[in-house]
Amino acid sequence: MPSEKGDENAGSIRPLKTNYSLMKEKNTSRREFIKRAAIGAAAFSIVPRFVLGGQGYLAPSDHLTKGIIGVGGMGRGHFAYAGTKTVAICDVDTRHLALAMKQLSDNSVKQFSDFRELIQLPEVDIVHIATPPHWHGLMAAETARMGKDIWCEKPMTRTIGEGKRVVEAVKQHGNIFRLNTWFRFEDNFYGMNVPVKRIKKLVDSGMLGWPLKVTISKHTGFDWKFYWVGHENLPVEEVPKELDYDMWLGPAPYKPYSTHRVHTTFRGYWDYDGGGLGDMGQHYIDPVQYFLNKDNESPISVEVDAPQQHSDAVGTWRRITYTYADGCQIVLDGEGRDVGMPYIEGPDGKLFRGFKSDIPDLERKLAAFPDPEPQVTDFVDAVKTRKKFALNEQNGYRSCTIVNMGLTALRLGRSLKFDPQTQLFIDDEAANRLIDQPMRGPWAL
Amino acid sequence: MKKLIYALLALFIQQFPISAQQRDVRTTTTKIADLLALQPSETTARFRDAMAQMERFTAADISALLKQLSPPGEGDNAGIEYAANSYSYHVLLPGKATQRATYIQGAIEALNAISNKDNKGFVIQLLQNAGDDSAVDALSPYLTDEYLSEKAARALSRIGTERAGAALLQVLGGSTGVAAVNITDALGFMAYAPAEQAILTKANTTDTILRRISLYALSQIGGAASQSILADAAKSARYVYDPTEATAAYINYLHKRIANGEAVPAGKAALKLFKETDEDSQVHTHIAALGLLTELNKEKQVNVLLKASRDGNPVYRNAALGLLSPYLNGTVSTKLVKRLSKVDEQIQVDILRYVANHKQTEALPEVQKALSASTPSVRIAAVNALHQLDAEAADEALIVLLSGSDEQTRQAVKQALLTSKNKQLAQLLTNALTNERNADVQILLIDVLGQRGAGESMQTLLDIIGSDASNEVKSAAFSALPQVARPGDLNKLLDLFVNANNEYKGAIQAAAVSAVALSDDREAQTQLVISRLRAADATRRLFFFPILSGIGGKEALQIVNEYTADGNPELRAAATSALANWTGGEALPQLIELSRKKVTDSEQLDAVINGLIRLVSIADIPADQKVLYLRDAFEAAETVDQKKSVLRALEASKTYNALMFAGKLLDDEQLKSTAANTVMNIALDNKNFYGADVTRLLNRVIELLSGSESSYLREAIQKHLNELPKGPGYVSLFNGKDLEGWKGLVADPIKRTAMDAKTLAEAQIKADEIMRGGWSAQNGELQFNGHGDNIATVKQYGDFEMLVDWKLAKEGKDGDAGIYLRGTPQVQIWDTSRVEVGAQVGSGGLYNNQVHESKPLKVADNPLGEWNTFRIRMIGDRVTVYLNGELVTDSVVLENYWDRSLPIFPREQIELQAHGTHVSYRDIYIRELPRKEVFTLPEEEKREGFKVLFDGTNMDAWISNTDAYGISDEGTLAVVPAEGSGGNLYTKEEFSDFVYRFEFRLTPGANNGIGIRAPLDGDAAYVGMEIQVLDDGAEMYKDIEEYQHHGSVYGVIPAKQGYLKPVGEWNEEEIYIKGNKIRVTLNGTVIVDGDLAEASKNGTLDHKQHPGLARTSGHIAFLGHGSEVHFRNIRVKRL
Repeated sequence: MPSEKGDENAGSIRPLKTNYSLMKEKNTSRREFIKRAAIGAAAFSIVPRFVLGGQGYLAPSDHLTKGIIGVGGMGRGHFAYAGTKTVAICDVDTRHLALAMKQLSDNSVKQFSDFRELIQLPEVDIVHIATPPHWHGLMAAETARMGKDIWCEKPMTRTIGEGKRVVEAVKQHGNIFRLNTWFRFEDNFYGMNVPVKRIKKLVDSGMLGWPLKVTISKHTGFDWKFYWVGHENLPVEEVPKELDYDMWLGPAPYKPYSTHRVHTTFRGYWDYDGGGLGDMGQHYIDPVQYFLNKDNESPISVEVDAPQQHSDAVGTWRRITYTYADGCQIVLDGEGRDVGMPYIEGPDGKLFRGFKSDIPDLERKLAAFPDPEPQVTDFVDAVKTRKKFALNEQNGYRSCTIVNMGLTALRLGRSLKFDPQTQLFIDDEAANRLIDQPMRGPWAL
Repeated sequence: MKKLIYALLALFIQQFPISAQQRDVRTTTTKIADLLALQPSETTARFRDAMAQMERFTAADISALLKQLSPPGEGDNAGIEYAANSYSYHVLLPGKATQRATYIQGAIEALNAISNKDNKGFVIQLLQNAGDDSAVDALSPYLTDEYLSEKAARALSRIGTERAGAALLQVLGGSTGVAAVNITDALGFMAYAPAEQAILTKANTTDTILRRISLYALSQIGGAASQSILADAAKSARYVYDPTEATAAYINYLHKRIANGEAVPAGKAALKLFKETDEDSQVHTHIAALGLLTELNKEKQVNVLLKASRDGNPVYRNAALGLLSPYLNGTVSTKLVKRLSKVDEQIQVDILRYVANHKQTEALPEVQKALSASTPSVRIAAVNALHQLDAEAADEALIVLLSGSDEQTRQAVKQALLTSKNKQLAQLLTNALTNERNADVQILLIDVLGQRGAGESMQTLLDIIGSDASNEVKSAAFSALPQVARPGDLNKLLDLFVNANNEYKGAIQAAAVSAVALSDDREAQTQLVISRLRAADATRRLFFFPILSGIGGKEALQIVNEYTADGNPELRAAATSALANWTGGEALPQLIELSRKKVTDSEQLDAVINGLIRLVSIADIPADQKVLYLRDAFEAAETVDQKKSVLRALEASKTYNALMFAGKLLDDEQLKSTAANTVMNIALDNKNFYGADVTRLLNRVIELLSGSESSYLREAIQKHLNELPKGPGYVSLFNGKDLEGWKGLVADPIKRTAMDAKTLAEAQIKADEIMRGGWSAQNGELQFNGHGDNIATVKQYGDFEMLVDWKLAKEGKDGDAGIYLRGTPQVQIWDTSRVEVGAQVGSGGLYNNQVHESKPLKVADNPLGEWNTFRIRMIGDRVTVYLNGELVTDSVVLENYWDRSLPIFPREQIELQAHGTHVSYRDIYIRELPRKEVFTLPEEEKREGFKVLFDGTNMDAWISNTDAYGISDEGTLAVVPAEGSGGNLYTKEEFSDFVYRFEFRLTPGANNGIGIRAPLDGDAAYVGMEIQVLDDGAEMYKDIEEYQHHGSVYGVIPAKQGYLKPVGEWNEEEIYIKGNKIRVTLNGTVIVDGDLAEASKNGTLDHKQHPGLARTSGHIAFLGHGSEVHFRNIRVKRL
């Protein structure tokens, strides 16, 4: 019987490396670190903006300086965004730091293992958050309070409640926030193989009619990455000496270490992300929200058809359907049930994969209609001139809420009703408990 | 093992009251095993079933379930975790208060009993999901446990009631270290006001972490007593970010106080904060203070905000503008833009952008003034603002502005015009263009007209082209032609050719294509282009090729294709390019032909290969045919990049041939990673591609994968491999190297069968020799040189699916061949040009049929010299053939050619016919299909008087209350509970004394039962009898009672254990019952031999009522239990 073996096991429990002592150490050394930082700054070839003319002022030709939190595969891919220069990096795994330093080949870049030290660097203009999603909300809010501008990877936050906190913090301190998925303004959009601007133009033209149903499935050119699933019965393993697992977990509940929980496979666990829907969902759904003109609202219901979900490991699903108050629908088709389904279906016309339509000579008819209004798509420009970025904390929160509504319904195994005003689920306490999830001490948001 | 759930559910539906008799009488062990058999539930119905089962759990049952958890990493907890977690959400549904209380009670019992701390943690998490006040006392003790305090604290804060708060507060005082932090964190999360004093006493600690979390908690509570400590903390942090986050806490605190209605003290404090944060480094706190003041003072704050909106600090200025939004009105926006030109350039820009975004039309006069500002950035902002504010009238003003503007401003105007919703825009622009003299402005206007597809501007553009305008302007006009062309313009456009410079020809061609595409009569328009082409000088003809290429269609194709063989190399090259860029799939055969001519120009070959790939992807043709084209393209490809492109394109056509083709390239050094992706994407999408070859390829892919996704992908492939059927799947019949597996043909099946072994062996030796004379493996193909006899498989086949590629020689005469199925002619292959023998009907028909259809449904043959793909399916006597993906023979009976009075042979060899002409074959794969064997009684049982109840073909002897029972493909009676838990299946007739024989096959953990002497409703285990059917070796049944094991008379007489065959194998069982005597024989061993009256005279083993023991007659039944079980060969004899 498992319970009888408990006492023997007590010894094998990995002692919780307390945040408490860890952080105390870090803080006593912080003063020294700031001293070092000041000396280091002299070596910069790039003059940080605070030197030039007060915070927020920057001559147009200057690069923005950025610090990246999380330099695993994702973070290391973002060193060279045009108009920015990486001056500091942070990771809880020293192997990532070493790889990143090698790639940067610039010894002046500062390295940290605690993100709070990075966000306090005076020479950092932008903080780039490239950690697993369970950290996004906390880090974004703290960075906002620090007065820095924020570049955050998708999904914006792991819960709806954390998303609300980020919106409040950014509003409170006047930061510029960019959520990093870009399809609403750049690149061809997966299976549609055209920029979203074209789809938006078609929707705005009214040629398809209203309301619209949008189906995101492999038949319309979107891969739900169902191989991003977790494992049950994970083996308990030794934490690698290079990894600060306690800090990796941060606000997430403590669970015994297993390789599959972290790094390249964390997406398969509810505590940190939500599988293919969690990770690809905002890429696929945000542009839909944009071209349906739903940036300031949320669906009123979500229906799920899925196998039962595990308490820890994320599984697959068959179908998730969102409905807006005006009847527009977003259908996520996980198993490709609807072969030949249009991507957008309206009362007057359909749009298929590859921007094909049942409306004859669509392209030509479309030309006569106005283009969608331009968007602010240059983050450096947005930061310098304080323009709200095309995909910011507000519309990013809304599209992430769609993702999180789906994940919540999936975990609960039932369909849900949602109030876009209060941004709470209707008559479902279990669902609402997942909107605001208390964090493991000492973290709070 | 049977339960009452279904009967109960039925009663609920019928709204009968539930009596004590109908209580769930299962033991806890049984309930848990039943539940875990449903975990995880694949379907919604099964999930509801599982949740309904848990609703019948007592607290003790819940606790027993959770106590089965093993320490992490030491056992299989998945089923318990699925069930307990899902149910923790389920009990919060409206109307489940009782179940919730029971669940919490059970979880608490388990929490106290479990000793492993991670398992305790799991239970605490369940209480975080579902707990209420009743869980508080059980959770509180863990608050001071270093390992579990974070979990207990979170659970209590999520419960969030007064009692939860009080529990947290009670231990806060004595707590230290991690526990103190966790408890304070939780009190903050729930903003528990009574804790304010206690937290205040901790907040001044020098411990940064505890101080931070205390300040946070105090700010959440928002009590008056915390004012000074929070204010002091923020001040000592100089109102910027510090490790204690004192400033953030203070701001949060002031918001809370405002929300609590304490405007006066909050206002005083906010004002002080605002005044004390005037340094640049404090700007974000300054903004927050301004936000607080605005929240408090609302309209009264407007003047401060207006002032702030002209502040030199852009961060502050823009934040102030954001705060101003709710209070905007005519007066405010007029003030906002008043004397705008006096302020700094960037401030003007921000304000103009702001009034535009907020649609403040009162600002229009100032916006119009700004149009003539001296700085470009302000002018641009003004242009954008005018466009947004004055949608109707702005366009005209903006067009007027163009002439005198700088380039940047013009670009802003252009952007506005492109997004303008004005319906008259095209006309406005055309008019402006007619009168415009500035070349740059002309170009801009033309560009906008083009992008807006303004058909009405065609004549104006043609006029400009015909005028003495500059080359730049003309060039712009030409570029716009394709977008503005209309059907009536075709002749005018073709006329333009005559004088046009070469550089404009592309635009004219594109415009001509558009004109035709829009036309209602494309054929006539195409003819017009063709006639102009024919009339043109030889040197000008090539200009028409791209037009025909863009139009597409068979007629256009024919003309252009002719020129690919023209004597003039320039025309040849132009025709080749036109084909490579063709619009429709009809050009594929021509492109294949071109690719083989070894176009010497490598760029042209590249264009041709890319054209092939592009057309294959868009063509509306079957996947089999696409794969043939792509394999041809691969053959023609010369560079690695071309080969990779073909391989990538192949993955869209998910056929077995495509998979095997890509699989062959997994060992090619340059192509292996591309091939690996193709193999993976085809295989993972097809669960019916399995067998040794598929497994080998996927294992190779696993080795080859690299990159950030590879760990997931490897798992996905492994999972796919694990789930694949275990059978042999498609097996290759031809190894490409020799004739292994093949033999020569000896006579026909009837004669051959009549031969004695010696005669046959001798004949076979001769036949093999003849075979080697005519058939050989060359270049991976199986070739017949036209001499000799059929080649036959060594093996014989019954029902099967076969893939075979074949090709008749291009220059061959009277091409003819065929595939003999089960030794019998034939699926026809012939040269469709042989009209004299009727070959124009195409290949793939059952040529030798006389009664049933012999001709194919359509012609789907590829030309001579090209490969064709057959997909042949033969089940029983019926044959289905797909040729190049087209259905040509649809389930037609194949007649016995050798003796027409006989049906087709049940099994025989497959032959490739020799018909005197050269034929090639490749990619021969066969998949044998299990045949339904119809059960017939052995002679002995027939004599004894047994009667068949199920022979694999029908369920006539049965009545079912569920859809879960059906006949599987292999002819078993299958319980496949895709939906619901199974339910029962009864014989129509009743039986009293009898011998019942059957075979059964279990799946892991499977559970069913044989009901005997059962009535049609109620739980057969009690109201009749149940002979248990169970995979009792499964882990989840390790604790069951002996009277629950397989073969037991359930609850009454236990069976001997250990005589079941391994799961997946067939077992034979006999149940003999006469009066009170019962005997169960499993795989030849008697495992029950008892007397029902004896066994129950002192009460039954399970201490339950078994009224069914007294019955003398009833139905025999299968008692479904939510798991997959197969039965066959079911028969019964009455005694």
